[in-house]
Amino acid sequence: MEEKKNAVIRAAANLRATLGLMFRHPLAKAGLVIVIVFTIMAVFAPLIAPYHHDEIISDSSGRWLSYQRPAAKFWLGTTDMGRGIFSQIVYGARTAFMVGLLAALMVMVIGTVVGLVSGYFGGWIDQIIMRVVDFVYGIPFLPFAMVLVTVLGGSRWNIIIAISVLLWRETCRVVRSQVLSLKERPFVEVARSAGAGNLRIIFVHLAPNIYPISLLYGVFAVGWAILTEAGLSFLGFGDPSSCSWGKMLQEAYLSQALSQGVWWWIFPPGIAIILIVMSTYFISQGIEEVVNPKLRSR
Amino acid sequence: MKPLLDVYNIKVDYKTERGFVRAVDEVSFSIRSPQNLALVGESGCGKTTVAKAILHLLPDNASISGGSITFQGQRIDNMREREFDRLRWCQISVISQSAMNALNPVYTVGDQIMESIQAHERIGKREAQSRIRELSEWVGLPPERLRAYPHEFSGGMKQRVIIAMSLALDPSLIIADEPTTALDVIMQDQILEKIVNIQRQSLSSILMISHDISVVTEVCQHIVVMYAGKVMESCSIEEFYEIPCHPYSMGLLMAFPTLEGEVKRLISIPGSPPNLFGAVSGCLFHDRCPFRRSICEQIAPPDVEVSPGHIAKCHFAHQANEFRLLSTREDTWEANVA
Amino acid sequence: MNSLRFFGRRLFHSVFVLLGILTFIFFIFRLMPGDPTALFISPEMAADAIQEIRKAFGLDRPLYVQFFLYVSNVCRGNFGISYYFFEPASRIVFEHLWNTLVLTIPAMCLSYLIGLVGGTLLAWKRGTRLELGGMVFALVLRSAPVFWVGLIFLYIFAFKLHIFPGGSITDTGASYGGFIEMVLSWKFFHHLVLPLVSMMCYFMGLPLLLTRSSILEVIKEDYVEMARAKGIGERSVMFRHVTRTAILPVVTAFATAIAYAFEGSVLIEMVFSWPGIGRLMVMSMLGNDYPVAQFSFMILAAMMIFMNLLADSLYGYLDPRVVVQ
Repeated sequence: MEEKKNAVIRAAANLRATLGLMFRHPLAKAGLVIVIVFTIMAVFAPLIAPYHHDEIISDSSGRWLSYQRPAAKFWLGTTDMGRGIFSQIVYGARTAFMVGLLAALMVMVIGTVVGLVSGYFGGWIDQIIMRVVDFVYGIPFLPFAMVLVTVLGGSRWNIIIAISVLLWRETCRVVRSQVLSLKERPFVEVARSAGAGNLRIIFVHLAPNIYPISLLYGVFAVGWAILTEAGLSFLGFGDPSSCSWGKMLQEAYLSQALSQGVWWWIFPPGIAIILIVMSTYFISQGIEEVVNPKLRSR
Repeated sequence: MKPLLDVYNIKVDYKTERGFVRAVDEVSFSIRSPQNLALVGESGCGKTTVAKAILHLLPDNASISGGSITFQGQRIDNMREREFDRLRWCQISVISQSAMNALNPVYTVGDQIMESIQAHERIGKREAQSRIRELSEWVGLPPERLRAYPHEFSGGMKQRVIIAMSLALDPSLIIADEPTTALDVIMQDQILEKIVNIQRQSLSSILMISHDISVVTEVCQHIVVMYAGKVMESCSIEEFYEIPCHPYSMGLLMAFPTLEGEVKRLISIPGSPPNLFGAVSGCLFHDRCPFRRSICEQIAPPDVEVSPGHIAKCHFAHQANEFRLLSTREDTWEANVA
Repeated sequence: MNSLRFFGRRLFHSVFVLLGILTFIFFIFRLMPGDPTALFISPEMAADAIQEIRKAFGLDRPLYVQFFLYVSNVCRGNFGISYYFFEPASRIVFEHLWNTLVLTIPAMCLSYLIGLVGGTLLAWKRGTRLELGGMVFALVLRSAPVFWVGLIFLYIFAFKLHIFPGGSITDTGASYGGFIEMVLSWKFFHHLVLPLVSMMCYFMGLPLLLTRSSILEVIKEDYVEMARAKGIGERSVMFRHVTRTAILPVVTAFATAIAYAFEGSVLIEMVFSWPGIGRLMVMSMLGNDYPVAQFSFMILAAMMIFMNLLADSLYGYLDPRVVVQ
């Protein structure tokens, strides 16, 4: 019991040290700040947004307050149907986080497990899995997502599935090559001769060396997932009931916002996407410092 | 006669996160053609930094902060890059320790040797190729292998390529930085033999850098012992073996095996080199020296000329005889464990 | 000659993957909402056309027969008739494919060229503010959705400043003798600029960052120091030793990126109403023109496989170490 408690304390201290190292980099710190801001937006959306994202704002006589420019009353103005853009941005953060995090998590799990199994066991298992990965690489991403959404219907979950089903290939490839190079290292041999079974070697010995790079690609996946979701929503393959920044841009485009000069509708969603995706790149810089010690000595 | 290479009071500083480090502190030596000089010391003592300073290959965060380097009567430490490039390879060449990586993987070895020739001499391709073939035969490399890529060679073969390349333009000075460290003993012997032969054939001088004194004995006539960036002892190789005057040199001699003489147990000098970040007073070796006295901790030792051409940086250089006798006993060193 | 065998092996490999994808397409398109025969037959077709297609694709026969017929049709180049255009799907798709290529390939080439030069510059100016600014710029480019960049460009340069047209491949009503004639016309170029620059913005980020980091890594290598010690001159060191090895990953990235570029073009083509294969696919999916949708998907997949093959072989050719494995 005492031993287990010590192990937990040590693991916690390790984690804290790692996180400290990760976020020492100024860019990683900036990324973290951005993420925190958007997280607050997403979690407390109903409290922060003055209106619901679908709510049509009308004046005292019942007329829709469409195309209002940004002012003190409506921070980012309104859409063609009189909906608050700032509110939509805030609610859109929810979709972005949900899709981004869940898709990235699935990508990380599938990619890492497949990469570990393929790299460690080698032989025909590896061959089969590699053929599958080659196959997956040959499928065009966006078109496939479009087909899948058409077949399964447009909902956030289907988008997440569509993204995860293909995106894991990158993580898998990277994890596998890492496992291949680690497999031959002495510490694995030592563990094996000490009688450790395959599962133990994989999860206790190899995994700690794998999870940093797996995490790195997981963070990248968040950015890619958000960009893909935006693209799909823009094309019309998104979730009609939810509010997403891509959908905002689709509505703007379809309602001729460009020719009508409604810049306050076009810029904010894009800037929001840029900020979040950029923050994932910044945070990944911090992770790379942990993964790649060569970069650390500055 | 003017020396071929004269290094005078050279100081090299590295700029790091934690401040400045003086990696090389007032190092002086000279090489007179056709003699060879050995620069020995532990890892991190600064010997490679000296070589890089001579070759203008110091990294961006390092700089020469004092002293001078003169080659064939000309000052080269402050020479402009373009001018120095003209000296490179045809007057001063390098045999590096990382032969493993010193060859570019995407070019054949023949091409890389050709590159060094064509950069300096306007000779026809055919002439250059015949010279390259001669060189490769001389180092024991079959000429048809010149068309192969570096990754297709073993470590020993790559080292031969590097040696052949260093001789391509018949330079007056060859700097050999740990040329045999990465090789097995048999290969070491073969390569050393080649290096010794270089001298006989071409009258080039060799500046040999190594941490292994047994390796330099065959090749060099003079030896400079460095520790923590400073020169501890500088003399001829015979005097080094017979009358070393610095405790560190004595420790080194006890740490490496010799074929002749009585069989002795090897010792290792306990402790490790000092951290060069803080200010260190007195002799830099004092904490590991079995003969230290209180003065060693407080006052930096002067350069004592024990005999013509033989310098030792120790307060007690003139009492070296006593120390020498004591140093041959293992318990002298073992008692010193802090 | 090793690289040739390498290529051959990978080619053989790729054919298998392509077959796998064709099978996959067969099954997934069958899952589309609606009557499976609707994959090939539009109710608005002539009766004898319907009969012909029924026979060719075995639409009332069991699934395995359909699959066999599908494969043999693919081999014969028969991909069905478009509902919307009433022409063979293959012809429609190939027409549109050229429009995509004429936009995507210049965009990618220019992006990578600028990326290479820019990345080298950033590496050279290591530690300066220019480098930091350049890196942030590249990251912003990579974080911005490609269609949004298109929207912004459209807004500023077409609708506000009226310098460039608001979309489409050429002016309405303009007619040309053929594709080549159109491509060489000034009007075409005028329409090309905005979508081209938008695509470039998105794709430039990766080569910029990759070139910079690659050069910074290579410059530390021992053989670069050796090259310098040989006195061949700083310029030769940079070009012959540093760049030569540093561009390897960028070149491979280029080949793989072209594959992804076709997907990116889907979004750009929609924003600019550019009649390319991406836009065709979206419209045909939304309009249930399944023969066209299916064939576009096939073509895109084939191009991806081919570009991946090229990328692998190119890397094997450029880096002698790889082929030995």
